[in-house]
Amino acid sequence: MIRYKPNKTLIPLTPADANASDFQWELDPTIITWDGGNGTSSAWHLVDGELHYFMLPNVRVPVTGYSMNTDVTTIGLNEMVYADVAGGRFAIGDNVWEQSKYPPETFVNSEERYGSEIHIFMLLCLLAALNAPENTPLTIVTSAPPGLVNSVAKAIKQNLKYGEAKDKTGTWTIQMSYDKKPRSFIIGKVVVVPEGVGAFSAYAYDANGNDVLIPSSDGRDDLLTGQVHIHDAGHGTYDTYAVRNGKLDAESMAFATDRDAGVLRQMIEPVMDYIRDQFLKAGESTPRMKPVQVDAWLREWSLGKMKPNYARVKLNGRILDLQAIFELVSARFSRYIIEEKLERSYQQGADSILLAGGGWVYILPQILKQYPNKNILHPDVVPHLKGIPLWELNAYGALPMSASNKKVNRKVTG
Amino acid sequence: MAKRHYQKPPNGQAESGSYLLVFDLDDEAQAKAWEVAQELASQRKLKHVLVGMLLAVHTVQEQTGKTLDLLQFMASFITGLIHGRGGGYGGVQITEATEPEELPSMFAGTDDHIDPSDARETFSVGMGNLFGDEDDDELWN
Repeated sequence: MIRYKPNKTLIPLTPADANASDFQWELDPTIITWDGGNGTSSAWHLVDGELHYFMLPNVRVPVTGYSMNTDVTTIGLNEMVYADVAGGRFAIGDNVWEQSKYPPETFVNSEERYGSEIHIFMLLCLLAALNAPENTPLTIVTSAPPGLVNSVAKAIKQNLKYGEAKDKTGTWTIQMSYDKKPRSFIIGKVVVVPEGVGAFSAYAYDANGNDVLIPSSDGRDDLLTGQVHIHDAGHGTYDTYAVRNGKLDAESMAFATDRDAGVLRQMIEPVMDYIRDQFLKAGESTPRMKPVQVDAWLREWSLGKMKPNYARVKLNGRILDLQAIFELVSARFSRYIIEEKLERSYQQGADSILLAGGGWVYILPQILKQYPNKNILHPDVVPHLKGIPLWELNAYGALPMSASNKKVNRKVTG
Repeated sequence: MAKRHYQKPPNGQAESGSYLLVFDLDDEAQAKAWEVAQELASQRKLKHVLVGMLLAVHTVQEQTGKTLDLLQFMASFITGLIHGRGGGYGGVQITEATEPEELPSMFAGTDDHIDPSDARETFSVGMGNLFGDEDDDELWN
């Protein structure tokens, strides 16, 4: 039986205050950071100085009735994870779209998705996977695209704090397929920040909220002062805005979110068009595909270092070699980002470009080739982010952000 | 068959189609080169690589009509391998014929930089007190 367990990793850098006599962790396990993105949903928390996290593709498949075998055509109970919530029973995880006759649900690229039932469902699955504390108020720190955050923050907070019974208790229950009894989570507090703020914090602070400086290669300056442009290449949106000497540039926030420059529009849709076209040319009917499926293929390819072996997929009884089209859409995405995003940032005077989001994994080598002499921040060049993937920077970074905010406000009020 | 008469050419120049290379293994750079030479020789690729490199020098000299500064050539070659292209200017290969419009942006940031710790404190303070008491009434109205 498949059973979700949190991934665990040591914090990348020992906190600067670890040897202080009054040292204590700023964050306890009840503070959960959550990036409920269009492509994947992931959550992190700190448990006695150890990072626990879990990620799920943003997809579920409804499964009705008592017995899974009557509804799910090709798999048995033991080979998939499903969750029972007030809204029904849903299978989750990669490849569920291949294994059920029901259409997968994703609810992406819409303002209404934030705080929606499926959005909250993904959080509940993550809380269960993390073994988050039950029956005690949790603080959820989450984010939304900067261009939408003002309009969706209230809906996210309200809907989470309403709770399952809409009684404003924030109480939710979920039973995973491997659980013997339901889990009960209480959402006590919800914090919503613009996407990118967590990523900036990941670079700026250690896991206990202490400042971490990032000297430039000549050692004379810090790469987070001056004009820092955050470039968050997500699944559904590409967000860009500026932080000037630590202050968010409100002007740039208003136009930060671009729905045409995310991985979905730039890579997934062209791949789907290409595949349909190839099937048609072969005289076959076009296959049924979902963006979440192609996204999973691309993630697999990137995890396999973009080698041809990882670009082979099965579809409609055929094996497809997608290496060439994956390389082509990556190259085009790279060119588009350089011309439409990065060049503009440099023309506006960016001292540093700060990268976040899974889109970069497909194009980072081309970007670094294009700008060998510019300050481009990504986890591989920052020791205190060693092992933190680009696509997790917003979720992970909300932990240092929270710790720093607690420290700073204690200093202000103390 | 008459035996070919070997006479050492002046200044180390080869006349017979062969050249003896001696690596000074006390020299760090030459020792590293020797390791690579051994590896290539074991794969029967050493001659191929050396010939290719010399041919590249010939081709560049022939096409530019200039005698190469070989130290500069090697530096450009290595830079090109590491950064993907020569010269350190990304996609632009700068020559006399390059138009100014083709050059990368000249802007390299701003000179308004505050103290790094102040920037981080400003960023954190700017979010307000995220974990302070919240007025729930405001949320439900």
